[in-house]
Amino acid sequence: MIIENKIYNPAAQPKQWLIEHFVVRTKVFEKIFKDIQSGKMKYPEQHYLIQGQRGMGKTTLLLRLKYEIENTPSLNSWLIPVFFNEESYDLTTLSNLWEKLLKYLDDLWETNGKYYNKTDEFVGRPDYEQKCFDYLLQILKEEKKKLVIFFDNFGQLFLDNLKDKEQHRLREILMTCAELRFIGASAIVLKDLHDYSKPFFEFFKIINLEGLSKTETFDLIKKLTEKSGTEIDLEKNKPKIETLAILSGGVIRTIMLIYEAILADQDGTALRDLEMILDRITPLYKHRIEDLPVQQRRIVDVIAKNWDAISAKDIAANIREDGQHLATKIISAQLQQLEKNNVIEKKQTSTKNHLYQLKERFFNIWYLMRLGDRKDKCRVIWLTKFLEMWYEDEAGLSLFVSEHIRHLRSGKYHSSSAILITEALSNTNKLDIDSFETLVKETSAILNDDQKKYLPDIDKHKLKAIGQLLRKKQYVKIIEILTSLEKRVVSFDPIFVYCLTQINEITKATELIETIEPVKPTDYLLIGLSHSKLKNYLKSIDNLKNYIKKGGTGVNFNIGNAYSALGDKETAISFYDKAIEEKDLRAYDRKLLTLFSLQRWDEAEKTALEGIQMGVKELKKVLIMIYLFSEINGHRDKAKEILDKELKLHENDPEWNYLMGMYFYFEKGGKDKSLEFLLKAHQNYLKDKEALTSIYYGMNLNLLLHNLEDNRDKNKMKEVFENIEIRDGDDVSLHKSFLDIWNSDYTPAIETIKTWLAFGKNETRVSDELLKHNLLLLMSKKQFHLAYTLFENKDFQLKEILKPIYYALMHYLKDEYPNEIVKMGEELRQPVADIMKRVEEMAIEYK
Amino acid sequence: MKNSLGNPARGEAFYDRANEIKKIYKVLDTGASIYLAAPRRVGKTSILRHLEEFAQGGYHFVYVITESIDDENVFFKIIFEQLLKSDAIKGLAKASTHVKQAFTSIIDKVSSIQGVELREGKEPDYYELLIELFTSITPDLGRVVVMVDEFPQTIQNILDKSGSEAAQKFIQRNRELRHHENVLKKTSFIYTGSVSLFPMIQKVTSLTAINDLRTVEVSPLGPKDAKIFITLLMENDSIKLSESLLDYIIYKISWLIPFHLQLIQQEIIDVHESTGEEITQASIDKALEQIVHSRNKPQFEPYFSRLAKLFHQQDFDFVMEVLQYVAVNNKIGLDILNDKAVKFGVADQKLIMEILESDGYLFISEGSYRYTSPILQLWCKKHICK
Repeated sequence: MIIENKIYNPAAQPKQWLIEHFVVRTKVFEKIFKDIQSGKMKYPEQHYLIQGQRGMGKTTLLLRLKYEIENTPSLNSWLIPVFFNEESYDLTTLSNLWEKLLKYLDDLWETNGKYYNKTDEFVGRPDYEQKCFDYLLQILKEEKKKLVIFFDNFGQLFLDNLKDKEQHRLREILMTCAELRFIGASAIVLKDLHDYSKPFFEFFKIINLEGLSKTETFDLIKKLTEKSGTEIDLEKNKPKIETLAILSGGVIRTIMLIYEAILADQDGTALRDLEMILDRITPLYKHRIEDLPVQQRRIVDVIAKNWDAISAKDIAANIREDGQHLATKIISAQLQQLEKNNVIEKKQTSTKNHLYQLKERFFNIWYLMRLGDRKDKCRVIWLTKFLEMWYEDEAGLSLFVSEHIRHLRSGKYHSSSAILITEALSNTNKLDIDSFETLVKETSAILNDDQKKYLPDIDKHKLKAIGQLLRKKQYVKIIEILTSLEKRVVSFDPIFVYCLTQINEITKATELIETIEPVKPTDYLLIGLSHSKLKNYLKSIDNLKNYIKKGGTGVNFNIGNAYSALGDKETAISFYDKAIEEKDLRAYDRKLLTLFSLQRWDEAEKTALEGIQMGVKELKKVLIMIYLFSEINGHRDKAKEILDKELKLHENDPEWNYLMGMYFYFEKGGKDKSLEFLLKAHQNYLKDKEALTSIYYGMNLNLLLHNLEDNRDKNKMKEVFENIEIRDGDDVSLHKSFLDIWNSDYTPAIETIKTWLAFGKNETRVSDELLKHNLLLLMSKKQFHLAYTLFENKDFQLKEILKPIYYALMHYLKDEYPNEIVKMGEELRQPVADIMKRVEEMAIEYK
Repeated sequence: MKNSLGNPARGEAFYDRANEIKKIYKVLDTGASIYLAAPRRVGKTSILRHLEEFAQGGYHFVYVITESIDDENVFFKIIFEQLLKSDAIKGLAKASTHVKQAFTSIIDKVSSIQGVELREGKEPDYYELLIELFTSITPDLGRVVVMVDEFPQTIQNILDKSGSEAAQKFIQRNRELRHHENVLKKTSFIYTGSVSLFPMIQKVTSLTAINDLRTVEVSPLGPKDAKIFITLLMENDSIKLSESLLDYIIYKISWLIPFHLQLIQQEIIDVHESTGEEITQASIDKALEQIVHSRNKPQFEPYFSRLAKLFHQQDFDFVMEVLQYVAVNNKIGLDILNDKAVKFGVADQKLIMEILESDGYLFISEGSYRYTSPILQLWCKKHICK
């Protein structure tokens, strides 16, 4: 705490301490001091105004100059340095200043108040200020002394408060008076810089104290280390110190606080203190935020929460005022102001749309911590960001984790901090899963049962990533994750091999699968399923049976499939029966299919009817399929009977219409009739939004459109569409737009897509697939700018929803938007590459 | 030579403006008073202070700055007091016993008046005292020249505080003072200021009120002088620039007022010191970029903020649009200029453009207005243009 007081209040530091610890800002010090030393003050000398953010070292610099004058015999004989600290609230007028200087001289020369008392004579005169000033000059001339006035917070306390007349008067004085010299410091407040049109400003030389550079930060730490005697391996810590420079925006006070609490900290509890440091910095930063006008505060809020650089347009999209988005123009004007005031930093791009981020990254971390939405799924995102920045790369983070684990083992580690760190690291993708797993285990070891529940579940954590990908069938991505690990995580081999089989990496999978020793029940499941894919059906059956032995359920269906593949359809059926016993209703369908292939129509019919009774109503429709395919006399009639009956009851039911369409499809010369039903089905689907989710809808579309698309039969597709009424916003319109693009008829296609987008913001994923299909075709037809118009439209939010496609597009347009592709996250690399590959394929397929 | 950027150049920091000084003496020799006209930061005050300190034989200069003064009597009081304090008057007193006695009697008078009348809240009439003071000076002792800096600002202050009539009276009284029989023969006045005098006078009265003043214009330095000036400034930092680099600077700065030369010199040194590299064309380019850094705002902002005082409403909007247009497009043709004048409903386009020209913002050549100073143009482009 002692050091902290010193850091916040340089005037409270002993003179010698300050001089010794004055290790940065030396150049500017030397420059000003040289000027002071060489100026004899025969004529008015150069006045200075030192500007910079809070914590940039202004006060320290003023004090250092003052001390140097006091210590220099050639100066201290005639030049008196006076220091007014930043709390000189009573100094708001010129006459206040002269009074205060007279009092100062009284004290200095122990006159018993003689000088100040003289001003009593002037009280009440209109030229009081002038009289005091003249008197001050008279004394100085008599004593052959000159004054250099170091005035902290000169801008806010003094200059900004001067009345118009005083401003002109000050200018006169600065211009003509050789007895006084001002060296002021002024914090850059966030509202605005000073009004430089004020007449006196031109007499000040402005010195801006910028943030320390990496080298200067290193020098500062080096000197601090030398002075304090702490042993820090500076070379080893160099990258960290450089990060510190970035994190702190070069603000000396922040650097010193972090240095004190982290770098110089040897017992590993530093990170536990991070929150405390952030708390300590709170007044500094709170001030910074509160100083902002409301609009700027909201802009900073958006930028801070975004963490990464963001464009004015994107900021605008995130701010609403009275239900209206703020105009980008307004945002840009405010951004300019914020940039001037050093709150944010502009990342130049080659276009007009620059990106903006908070200049001081530590401020951003603080912001996320203090003001971030606690409901965010990631309440410790600030810490994640801090750790990521601090440890830069994976190696660094792993090293940190192993250090951290060492401290955990020491048994002295604060448990809530340990949880915090683990939680934070569960959010980064920069830490390998192994390290993370170890971290969780080690942390778990120091926690009691109650605390343990706060720990992220390692399996869940991994499954969260991989499980999700698995559900999305993103096997390539999973393989990428698993192969990118430094060390092979054996426990993930079953998933690994499963994914390999799913993308038909048969050789690799075959090789790997033999090395796997299943441990967990799910291992048997995955291996079993993989073997099935590798056509090792016996092994598949073996593993799945083991899975059942370990308590697993729901795989009789798969075992049935394996037997079915082995040609042992009887056994297959017996497992489907077991599955059915387990109420795995999927098995009906497969059993039916098997019976179908065995052409055991009676049994199939029986099973279907049983299934229908069991509540699998859909089987009624499968039953129609059986009847239609069995070619058993009377079956088609049965089918027709059911169809007629159902259609009578549900005349407009699209599915029954679809099946009727199919009935006629097989009927000799029934194609037209078939189309009639299919169209009717289609139209009915369009009328009934809920029906859009039915799998039969897809089948119907397949019949109508996909087959036509696959056959590259443009003309027939066209015909279909000519007979279809396409309603705005319907998904089917996307088939139409697809056809239009295919026909190089782009304008209506884009209009259709735009209309669909305007309608379909809440549409299902299926719909999104159709849209993607369109976008990819557009790109394959090299209509990049047209595609871009869709992404550009902020109402659609395609950029967010279809990120991979967007970045694929940006890849094609990288000459025009070189800064966009840069923003792409690493995790998107593969999906984007996949999309581009598909685009190239489609270019050939849909010439 | 020390770079006195921001402050009037005094003593060794003053670069001899032989031409301007010659011009001034030439007018003073005729017994006339002067309006020293020049754009801001050309070096008017420095010239005045130099005249004061190094007066030619037969002249006694007294410098007065009246920027904060907003009252006619206080204005004359300041001149009166400054005269009494000045080396010039002290010298006159020394030279003549008669003058000394006269001065002493005037001072006594003031003290007694102050002693008695102050309590009643009344100041003596310093205009009368000033006449008395001038009366006591005999022409054979030489000519007294009162140099009033920021005179136009004083008019503005009086106008703001006491209204148009008071301002008009103030201008009139100054004219009367100049023409007073006991003043005319022995005294001249030089008025100057960073606000243009003529538009200020026109605000209050007609230009005839000052038609006795002879305008002396302070020009920028010529290329030769500019190079010597920079060389002298560089010497202070122990640096010598090659002739070709000096030529390059001159070419880049183009409008060679000492202030801009001081600015570029300061920035060149800054670039040199921060990079530690030898000064080259590239570092001069960097220095030029640095000049328009916002930290030099105090130096440039007044160029534009003063326009708000000079022009009002649509005229001001017009001026700002023109300046911004030229900043971006390098020039403005007369057709477009006219179009803009129509857009803003400007009545006297010609007068406005004359002021912009005489105040050093723009100049006309080949049918287009351009920036006189590329630095000013750059500043406008960077900080004023939206």
